[in-house]
Formats: sequence, structure tokens, C-alpha cells
Amino acid sequence: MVFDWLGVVIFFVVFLVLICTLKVSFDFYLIKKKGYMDYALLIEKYNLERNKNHLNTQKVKLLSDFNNSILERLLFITKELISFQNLIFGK
Amino acid sequence: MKKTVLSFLFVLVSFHCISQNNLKIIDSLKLVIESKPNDSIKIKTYSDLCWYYGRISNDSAFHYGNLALKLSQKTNNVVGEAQAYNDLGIIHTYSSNFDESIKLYRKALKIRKTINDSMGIASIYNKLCYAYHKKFEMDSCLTYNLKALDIYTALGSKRHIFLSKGNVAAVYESMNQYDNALKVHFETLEMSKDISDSLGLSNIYLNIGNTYLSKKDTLKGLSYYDKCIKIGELNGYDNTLAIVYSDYGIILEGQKKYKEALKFYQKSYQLSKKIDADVELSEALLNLGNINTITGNYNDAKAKLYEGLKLSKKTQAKDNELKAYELLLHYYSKRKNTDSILHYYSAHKKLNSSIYSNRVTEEIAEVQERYNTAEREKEILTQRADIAEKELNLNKKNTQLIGLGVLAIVLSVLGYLLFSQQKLKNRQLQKEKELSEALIKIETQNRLQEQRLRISRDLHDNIGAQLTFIISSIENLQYGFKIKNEKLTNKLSNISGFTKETIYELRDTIWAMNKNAISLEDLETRISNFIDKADVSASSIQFDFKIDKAISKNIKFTSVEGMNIYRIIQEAVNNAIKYSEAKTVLVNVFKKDQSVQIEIQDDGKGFDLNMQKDGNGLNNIKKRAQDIDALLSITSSENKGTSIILQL
Repeated sequence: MVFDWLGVVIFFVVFLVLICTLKVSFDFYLIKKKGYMDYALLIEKYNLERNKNHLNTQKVKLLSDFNNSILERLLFITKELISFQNLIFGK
Repeated sequence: MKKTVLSFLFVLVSFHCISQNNLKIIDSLKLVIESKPNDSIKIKTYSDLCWYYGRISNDSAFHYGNLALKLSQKTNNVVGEAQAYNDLGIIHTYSSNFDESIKLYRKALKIRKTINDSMGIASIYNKLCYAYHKKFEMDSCLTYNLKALDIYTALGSKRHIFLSKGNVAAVYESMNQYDNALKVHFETLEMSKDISDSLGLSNIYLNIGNTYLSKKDTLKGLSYYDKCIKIGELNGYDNTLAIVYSDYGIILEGQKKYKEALKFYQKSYQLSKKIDADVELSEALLNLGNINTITGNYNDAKAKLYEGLKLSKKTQAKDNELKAYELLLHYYSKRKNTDSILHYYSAHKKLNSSIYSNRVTEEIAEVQERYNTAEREKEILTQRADIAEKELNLNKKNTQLIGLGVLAIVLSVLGYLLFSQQKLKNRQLQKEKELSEALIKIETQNRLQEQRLRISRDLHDNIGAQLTFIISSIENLQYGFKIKNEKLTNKLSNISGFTKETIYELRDTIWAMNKNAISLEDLETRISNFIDKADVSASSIQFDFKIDKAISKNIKFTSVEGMNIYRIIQEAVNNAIKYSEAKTVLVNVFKKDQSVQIEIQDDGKGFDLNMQKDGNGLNNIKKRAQDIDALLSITSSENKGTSIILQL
């Protein structure tokens, strides 16, 4: 290849653009990496919350069953107490 | 006959112009020899003596030349040896012994080639050209001249290029190619003006004049002769003048101005004799002989013509010899001597045919072609240079185009990268946004659930306290009032027992809720406690609780799973206590086919699965198993006990 001043200028511009391209490529890589890291953090947090939600859901379900059970039991106790009262007062 | 001057002569003759000084120089050189200098100076001095004796005394010149040669050979001084051969060759040329001079020139050439003396080699070529020209071997003459021209061109020596071109023109002249000769003459004319060479200029004017006369253009020819004579007389160029006077005389003779022609011939004769130029002298003699023949002075004519012929033969100047035969033929025709006429006619014919034989003509043509080829090669070189320049420009443009192409590609890549980068950013933001929204949603749900759980815990605490209060109140009633009524006492006992069960259930639930995960170990402890209590409350039944050691105790269950497993075992054991009339109840936890199985087995009365409608106990067991996605298998038959297997 034979260079005149214009050729030199063109190749200098090519060199500069090439450097820009490399910088953008490197930035691209960094953005991608940072994005993955941020997303991974969020996913981790989300998984924790989901796990927590699962546990809470289980507990709520347990409570719900228990609440039903205790309600029946309380009603039964109330009924028995009323029955006891009736026995006392000879009804 | 016109005489064209070879450039070689310019060099040889130049010192004749100062021949008066030669003796003084020779004396001073001899003084140098007497001072006994070293060998190299001695060789140089011998050579110089040979040179300066050249036209004064051939014998002395040969003597000093041979001394220079011997001393050079003895001291291995190759430069001196080549110079000695060269000087001796020149002396032989002066003596018209061209064959010997060619031999010596070749020896000098061989040495100069070994020491790469370009200028010396070119000088030898030039002298060889002159010698061959004198022998009328034009092909060799032109070949050596072209070789010399090549070297001078390579060295960029304008003066020598000028001399060599002059020789080319002289050869053209000899070949009767006057247009070509004129073309080269005018080229050399321009060059001589550039290099301010008055001797060269005078000779070129002479040669141009000759050529024009050959073309029968007398006016132009004479005008160039006049120019030549003017410069020659001004600068004392005797050799040139000797020739031009002779040629001028020929023209005047042609114009029948015999007296004037005779004057010019005599001038030429005197100058030739003065400078000892045999060739020119022979021509002058022949011209004088001819004019005497024409004017009827036959005695003088015969003497001059024979003298001219003799000198022509001696100098091997064949053109002069031919002229001599021609003039003798003319002389004898005037004298009406038939024998002599026939003799000289035969000699003339013989010499003429030998000079202009076909072979010579062909060789000359061949050499001319070679010269033309050389010229064409130069043109080709020039064209190549142009092409190379164009290629260079083309390469530059190609480089620019390649650069622009690369720039376009790199810009495209950059654009694509920027676009991709933006796209990636958007995609990442979108994904993060979606995930953040989902996270916020689930966090909100979690907060709500936690709130519900907190409220439930508060409620259960309150319920627990109230249930405790109920139990306490019932026990106060039982023991404080000493109730005798059995029915009332049973009733109170039932209410108290049921309330206690409710409190236990509440505690179990709180236990389960306080753990995020229930391990098998936790469950084992809980079940053991429960079995122990059952053992106390139902002393007639033997309880056994086993866990396979192969099962890892780190197995985790969720609170719902753990609670439901515990409740299923509790329910099954309670059923066995209440209805089976069993003697032993076995709770076995073991591993089968990569799954954990829990078996509650009794040896009681059993029941018919088909006949038995599912009571609350069995229903609860099935429902709980379904809630935790566990497989439940109940096997029972009358008097063969019952087995409930829960596969997790």
C-alpha cells in the first residue's frame, strides 16, 4: 500500500473510529455484565421473597385450618357450657 | 572526399593544439624521473612521457610506454598497467597500426573490467570504436560506441555523451544515412552549447556541413563550414581546420574554382603536416594531386597521388585509398595509359567491393537496429517510469479506497454496537422493571400475610388465655363447690378435657407457625412426646415408635406438611386408642423407593373398609394427606388390625 496525505488522514480516522469501536465494545461488555449482576441480585431477592411468600402462604393456610377448627371447638365449648347451665337450672 | 571527424579525435588532437608546450612538459617529466621518485609516480611519469611523445616521436613514446608497462607488471600496479596498454594502443593508432592498437586496448579493457573502472572502460570502448571506424568495420565501431554511450549515460557525463553521440552521427554518415546523421548532429550541437565545448562545436559544424553537402545542399554546407573555420581559426584547432580546408577545396573544385581550391588544399596540406596527421595529410596530397591533374600539371599530380596512396595504405585509411585509386584512374585516363587504367580500375573495384560488401551492409544494418533498439529501450524505460508513476497514483487511490472501505466497515460495526448497546440497555431495563414489579407485588403480599399472621397470633394468645381461664373456672367449680351430681361432674370434666385438647391444638399450631421449616428431627421429638402421653393415658396399650436410621434427619417439611403429618399420626393413634381395642400400636417411619413412608399400625379388631362410613377422623386423615400431596393407604380387616401408610 502507498500512502499520500489523504490516505494517511483516512487511516488515522479509521484508527480513531477503531478505538471508539473498541471502547464501545468494552462498554457493551461492562453493561451486559452489570445488567446480569443487577438482574441476578433482583432474582435472588425475588426468590427470597417468593420463598417467604410460600412459607407465609403455608402458615396462613395452617392458620386458616386452625381457625376453622378452633371456631368449631369454641362453639362446641360454648354449647357445652350452655348445656351445663341448663343442667344446673334444671331446664 | 569530405572528411567526418570522429569525437575520439577531439581528445587525441587537443594536445596537438598545444604541441609547442609538449617539449617543455617532457623536460619537466624527465626531471621528475631523475629525482628517483617511488614506483607509482615513476609509472605515472612514464605514461605521461609516452603520451606527450606520442606525436613528436613514436619511438620515444613506445620506449616510455613499454617502461611504464614493465614497471607496472613488476610492481603489480594494475591501474598503471591498464594505462600503459591504453597509451601504447593510442601510439599504435597514431602509427595507423589499428590491429595492434585493438589488441592493446582489449588488454587494458580486461584489466579495467576487473577493477570496475567505469570511466576507463568507456574510454577504451571509445578508442576501440575509433580504431574499428578507421578499419571501416562499422558494426564493431557502432557496437563499442553504444557501449561507451551506455556507460557515460549511466555516469551522467554530459561531455562524454556528447562525444559518443557525435560518433554515432559519424557512423550514420558513413552509412549514407544523412537524415539520421543530421538528427544526431543537431542533438550534439545543443549539447556542445550546453557544455561550452568550442572544439566540439567547431567539429559539429564541420560534420553538419559535410552532411548537407552529401545531401547536395551546398549553400547550407558552406555556411556551416564558415562557422567551423571561424571557430577553428579563432581557437587554433589545426586538425579541424586541416579537414575543413580540404572539404572547402573540394567544393570550390566542384565549382571549377581551381586556383582557390588549390589554396585551400595547400592550407590543409600544411596544417596536416604541421600536426603530423597522416590521414588528413594523405587526403590533402590526393586533393592536390587531383587539382594538378585537372590543371594539367601531371608531374606534380603523379607524385602527390602516389604519395597520397602510399600514406593511405600506411594509415589503413581505406576511404583515402579508394579515393587514390579513383584519382589515379582519372590521372591515367588523362594520360591515356590503358594498362594503368585497367590496373587501377581493378584495384578500385576490388577495394570498393570489399568495403561495401553485402556482409558489411547487413552488419551495419544489424548494428543500426541494435542502436535503434537501445533507443526504443530508453523510450520503453521512460514509458515504464510513466506507468510506474501512474501505478503509484493508482496505488495511492487504491489505498484511499481501501481506507474508506475499512472506515465504512468500522463505522458500521460501531453503529451496530451502539444500536445493540441501546437495545441491551432497554431489554435489561424492561426485565428489571418487570422483576421489580413482581417483587413489589410479592413483597406487598408478604406484608399483608405477615400482618394477618401477627393478628392471628394476637388472637390466638387471647384465645389461649381465655381457654386457660375456662379450664381454671371449671376446675374451681369442680373443687370449690364440691358438686355431687355425677352428670354435672362429667359434663364439667368433658368441657375441661375438650378445652385442654383445644389448648394443645393451639400450642401445636403455634409451634408449627413459629418454624419456617419442620425437620424430621423436630417431628420425631413431637411425635415421641405425643406417644409418651398416649402411653400414659392408655396404659393397656403398648406403644412403639421407630424411625429408620437410613433416613436423614435433616429432611425438611413445610409448616403445613409437618403439621398435617403430625395430625395424621395423632388422629390415627387416637383412633386406635378409641376404637381398636388394640394391644400394641406401632408408629414406624421408614424409607422405601426413595420416599419416606409413615405407617401407623395396630393389632386391634380392625374394621371393614367397605362397611365403615368415613367418620370425621378418617375424613380428616384423607383430607390432610391430600393437602400435602401424599399418598395414603388404609388397610384393615376385622380382627386383623388396621394399617395406615402415608407415603411422602
